[in-house]
Amino acid sequence: MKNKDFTTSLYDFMADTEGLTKEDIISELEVSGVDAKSLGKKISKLVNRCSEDRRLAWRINAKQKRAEIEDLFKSNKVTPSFTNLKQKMLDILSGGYGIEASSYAEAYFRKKGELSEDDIASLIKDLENLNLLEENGNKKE
Amino acid sequence: MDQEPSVEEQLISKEKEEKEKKLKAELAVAVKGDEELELLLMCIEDGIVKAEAIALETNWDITRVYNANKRFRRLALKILNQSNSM
Repeated sequence: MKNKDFTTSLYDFMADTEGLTKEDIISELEVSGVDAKSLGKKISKLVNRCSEDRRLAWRINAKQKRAEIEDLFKSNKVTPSFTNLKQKMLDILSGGYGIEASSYAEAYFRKKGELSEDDIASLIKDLENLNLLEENGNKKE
Repeated sequence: MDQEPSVEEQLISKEKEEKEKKLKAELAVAVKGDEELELLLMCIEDGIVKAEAIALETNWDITRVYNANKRFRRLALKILNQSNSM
């Protein structure tokens, strides 16, 4: 049974608080010169600060992510000239923007019988943004 | 391949051994005459430290183990605090 030294066993025994009440623990801390009340306040302050930091970190991350995506979209300006649109549509349908983009475009055309220039511009914008997001995701991986 | 411990390691190990011997001796003196605490010290020496395991080893019910543990802890704390403040 014995596979650890006595000091380790003793400290393991002392660390096990099973069967002790809160009062027992407070009294033991006081015997060791620890002010339990002040310790409790310090711990509670620390816990509050850490949970606040975590909450703020989440918000900061979300804000950064949003700014990154917005920058990505802003940098991708589509010139709405018809020739440009036509060329882009051909690129998309020939798979130049990836298989996902071309199947998305095909589905889009199947649904709509007729397309206005605005429809095409909006579709291209979506596909370009999708493509940029995918590229950005691949870079990060 | 086992390497010979350095002089420094040997000294540290010797010092640790001496401290442990002293701690054991002080605890043995503190619990002397109290059968329950003597038995508890033997359990700890054997690495049996969990209340349930102590209950199994000693055939005590768990409440008796808890009470003996409390008494032992009080003595041990005093000794540990003294040796830490030295």
